[in-house]
Amino acid sequence: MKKNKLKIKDISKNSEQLAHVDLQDLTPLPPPYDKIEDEPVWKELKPEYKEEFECTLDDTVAVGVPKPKTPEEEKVLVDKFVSGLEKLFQKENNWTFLQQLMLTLDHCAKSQTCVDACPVYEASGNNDLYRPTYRSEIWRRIVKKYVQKKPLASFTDGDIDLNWRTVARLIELSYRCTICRRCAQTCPIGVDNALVTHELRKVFSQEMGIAAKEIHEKGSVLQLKVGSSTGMNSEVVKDNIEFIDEDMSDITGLEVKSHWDVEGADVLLIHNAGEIIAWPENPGAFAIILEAAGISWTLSSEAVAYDGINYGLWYDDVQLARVAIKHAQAAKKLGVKKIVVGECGHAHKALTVIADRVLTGELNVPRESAMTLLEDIVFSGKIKFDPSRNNFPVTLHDPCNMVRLMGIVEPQRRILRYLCPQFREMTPHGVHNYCCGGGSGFAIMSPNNFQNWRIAVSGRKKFKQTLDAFSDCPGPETKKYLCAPCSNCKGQIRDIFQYYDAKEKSNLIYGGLVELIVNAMIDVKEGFISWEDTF
Amino acid sequence: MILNIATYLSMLIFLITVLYRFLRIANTPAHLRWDLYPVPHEGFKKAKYGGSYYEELDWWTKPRHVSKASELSAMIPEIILLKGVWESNKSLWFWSWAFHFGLYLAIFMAVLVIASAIAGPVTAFGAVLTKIAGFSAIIGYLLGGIGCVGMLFKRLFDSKLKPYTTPGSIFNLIFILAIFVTGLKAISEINLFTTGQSGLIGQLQIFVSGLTGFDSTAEINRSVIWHIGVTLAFMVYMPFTHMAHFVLKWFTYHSIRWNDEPNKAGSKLEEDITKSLNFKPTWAADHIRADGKKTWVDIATEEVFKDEKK
Repeated sequence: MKKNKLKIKDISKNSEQLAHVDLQDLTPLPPPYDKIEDEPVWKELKPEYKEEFECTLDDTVAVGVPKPKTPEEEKVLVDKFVSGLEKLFQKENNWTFLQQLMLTLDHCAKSQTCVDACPVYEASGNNDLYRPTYRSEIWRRIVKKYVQKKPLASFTDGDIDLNWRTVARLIELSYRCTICRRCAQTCPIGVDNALVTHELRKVFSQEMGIAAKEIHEKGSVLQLKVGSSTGMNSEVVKDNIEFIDEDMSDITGLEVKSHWDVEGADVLLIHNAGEIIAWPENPGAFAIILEAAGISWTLSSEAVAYDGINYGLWYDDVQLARVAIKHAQAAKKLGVKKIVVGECGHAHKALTVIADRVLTGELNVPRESAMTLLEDIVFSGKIKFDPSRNNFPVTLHDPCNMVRLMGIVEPQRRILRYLCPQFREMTPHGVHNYCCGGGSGFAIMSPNNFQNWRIAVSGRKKFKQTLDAFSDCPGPETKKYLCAPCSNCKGQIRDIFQYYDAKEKSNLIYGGLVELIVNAMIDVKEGFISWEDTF
Repeated sequence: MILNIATYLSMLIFLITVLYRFLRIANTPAHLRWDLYPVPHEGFKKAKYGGSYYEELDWWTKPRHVSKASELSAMIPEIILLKGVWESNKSLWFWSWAFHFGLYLAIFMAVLVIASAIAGPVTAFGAVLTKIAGFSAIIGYLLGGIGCVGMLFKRLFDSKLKPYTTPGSIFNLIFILAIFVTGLKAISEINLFTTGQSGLIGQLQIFVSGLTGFDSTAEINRSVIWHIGVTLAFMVYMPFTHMAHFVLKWFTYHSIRWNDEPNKAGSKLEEDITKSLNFKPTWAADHIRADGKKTWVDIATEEVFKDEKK
């Protein structure tokens, strides 16, 4: 077992475990979270599980690849992988990312300029396994040697062996990167390690039928099968929203009414359906604001269209296209003027940016972010606000998909500067933000002890940043609010705060942007945001 | 004679290979967007913090502004000063900058040699070009050489770079170092600035004039021949390596990171996407349901999973 000095070729070795996460190596957190002995102990993987599944990458397992039982099965795994890699470079199979991939394959200068930008690598104490270039370099060498069969590949590009362990470990390793693309931002040449993660996951899913259960089987497949990855069908989601409306009416003193399937409405609002289950105050707050502003809006009860998630974004182009088309078809059927994506970063990027080159003709319904609509409403004068109701320290988390990958930076800030007198930025922020650690599906993935890893390692930098933003008022005597306008980020942040007991120790809660807007509305009863009712 | 033929051939191979690699990328189908912010052509104000047109309400109803000036203001510091390396990899920056800037100056010298050979080295203008070419050569070769040696040390001994250093990386650096060293050797043997047979720039001018006039009778100093020979060999080799990024970087920025062109109804882009959507994939996983006959449109629009039992 090696902590550091991991070599590229080690990925193929028949070793017991490639790398180990030592809690002592993790970057320190500020007090009172600075004592390593207080770090929650990681769950051990069960011996019988280790027997059946490939567990030799690090201390956790996200996917759980069954170990091949025979040399024939080993060969099948390798052959399928190579076949998938070949397809990545065929326009018929991968027109979607072919150009990006060819450039990333051929032009890395191996300068390691990108490595320090990775929050996972940094938080792990620079564990070589989590270097953003480690996975890319392995992939590059395999492609050159086994797919392109380039003469002298070992000399020019470096040597690698390809066996079933390489493949099985790469499957796991493709789920140790949040695809936040912070590393890509620093590459002077424009090479993109996150793209390599994305494309590897595609090979595993589209060719080999292997993906993390939470994002495939319980994610995009369930969404396409019943309408939502939450499992809610159309009737259930309507009942739940009705219940939320009633609840919101009681809390706010306003009559809150969500609308369904209004033909010709100006706005089709699509939430991440996880909000309805986990954070009902979020869709409730949207309804309050849109109604107060007199917006013509609707929700859709069409299967898939009441859930804005599109997990295909992280691992499968076909699943992405299927879901995006369903969203657009629902909008077209209702004849709305535009789709507005609620507080969900990956839904923003999937439907607005990525699907932009999937949706052609009548399906190309205009799509925009809730951030811009909310900004317009807040500054329109249609709603009266009392910012003193939000007079507590507030900081903002920038969801990578919405900010670094879409350039929606200022609308949410202009609202916070106006409505939150004690708003302060994290460092760094905006397009240089750090991922919450739950990106690329991690926030909904907790198999085995993966939650330990995604919180203590991949979420560490975000937790530290959050605490640092409140360094002038760290104690529990001051109520503090982390605004995260993204469902997946909120899921990750919820888990981080619970893991470290942040509510108890720091009086730190999290929530969306709309909750802060409603909390400051004069027509709403005071106390919409409550520090007592969270978690 | 041999040197002249080698030069024609090397230049031809270089141009064909670079053009091939450029066209190979340019001819890939229209792809999905993969933009990364800041996108400088959004204009100085937005580029400063990384904003995009998605920040505007009903963005599709508004004219799209693309600022080339803002784009250039991002490109120039990157190309000249390697701003990205400075910001993210300071310990490598000086060596990398010296290496790249040395190459720029060497290329600039070559351009000046060609210009002065055409202008006539004995004219006043030609004499000025000769002087500048001489300075570019000495500074460029020194800086480039220092950069090469520094990068070699970093690649061999820096714990961050070493595990990722391949024999090919070392070979490339030594190859480029050879260009600078042979250049410096030539400078050390003959006068740098003198026009005509007795100076390095002069000999290069005579060599270029011979190439343009198909005259191979010029007498070139042996060290200059070595310098030219190594440079030509590198020109043939380089486009086959990752160093072709000097031209293909255009795509990584303009076609990918900064490509935020929205798909509009009836546009050429929409036409290209429609073509791609008619490709017939062969991905083998069951849930894809590809058979090599169905198009992407068929696969993405058919009802799936509903027939499956929970």
